[in-house]
Amino acid sequence: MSKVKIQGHASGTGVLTVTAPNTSTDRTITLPDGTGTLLTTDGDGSSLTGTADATKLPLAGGTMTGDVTFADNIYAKFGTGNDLRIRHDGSNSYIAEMGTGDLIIQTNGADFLVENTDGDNMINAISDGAVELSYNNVKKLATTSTGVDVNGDITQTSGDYIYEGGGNFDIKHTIASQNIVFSTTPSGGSATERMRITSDGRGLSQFTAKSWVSFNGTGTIAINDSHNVSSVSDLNTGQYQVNFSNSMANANYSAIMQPVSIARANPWVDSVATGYFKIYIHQSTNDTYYDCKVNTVVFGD
Amino acid sequence: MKIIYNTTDGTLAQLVPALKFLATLEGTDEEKLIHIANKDLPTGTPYEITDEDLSDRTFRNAWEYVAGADEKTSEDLSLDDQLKYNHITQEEYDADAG
Repeated sequence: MSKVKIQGHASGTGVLTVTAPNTSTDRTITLPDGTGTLLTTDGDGSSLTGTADATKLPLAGGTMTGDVTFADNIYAKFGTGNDLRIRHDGSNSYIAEMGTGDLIIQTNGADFLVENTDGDNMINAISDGAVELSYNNVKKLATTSTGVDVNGDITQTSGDYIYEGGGNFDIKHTIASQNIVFSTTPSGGSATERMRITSDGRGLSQFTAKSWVSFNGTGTIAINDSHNVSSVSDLNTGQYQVNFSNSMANANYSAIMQPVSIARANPWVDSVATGYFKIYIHQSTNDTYYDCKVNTVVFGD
Repeated sequence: MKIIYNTTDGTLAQLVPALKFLATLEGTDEEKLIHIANKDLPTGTPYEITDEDLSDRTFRNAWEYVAGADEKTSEDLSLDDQLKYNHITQEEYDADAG
């Protein structure tokens, strides 16, 4: 040792104290190497003065150049009231807002992503854009400027209703040639299709008309209006054939026909086929076929 | 326009298209009627497309079909149309075709 110097202040009253250890073990005070001054404190240790050691982080702040490790259940706390707390409890990790405000995560225009350690996306919040939710790195739901896009099935596990806040409630299929299918599940059974609205506008069920037509069988034969009817053939006086646009599944359907404005008519349906059926308007009183206006409705498969 | 053809009992028949069905078809009016003829008439049926006035139904039972210069013959629809109009799958069509 080249020199040891302990010096008091000539005009002050403070006392430089080196406290003895409370055991018989020796204690060593190590002074900083090179230039510098040993930090000093006042009597209660509340005021630290002197030149900081470059290997220590001052209370006033500084830059860490290495990792900071907190043991399990040791909090990193932020805020005067320790409002924000971050910890790991040995099993799970927590970011907790314990104060009265909100927990806000901000970016300055960048996206906010939540990923697993493989880089698989779970949440992608695009600044000024969509918020996307993924399942196993496959996007399933995304907000849009007009609502929400869903990629996959929607299962309502509770609740009975889908509400419309105002205006019409549109259910729209935007893919060409695809249908809208309604199903219910009977007691003890499985989901069963009850009604199908086809891409060309037909309603297929056991309780909706598969076809109907109103045509004028007099003078210039003309179809006034129709559904799932491609044409009507005028076969002869009082004899017509209704041709379906889309054939019936089988010939066991019910074709209901009514002649209009003809008294004592004896009409009947005949030659029922999947693609058409024939109509005969007969008057038994004089055994004659008559032209007239006719309405038909068809139910069946 | 309408389609006139001969029924199996030798009487002239006229086939009147439904406007709603016509609206689903593409092409000229004649192409649309040819499509309907291929769909609603038995394959191989001679027919003509006409806009002749047939409103006077006097002696309707005596009307006869006489082949004209523009006579056509109904043909099979395309496979896609057959599948569409008859609600069958390709597999069912293949099985039916043997």
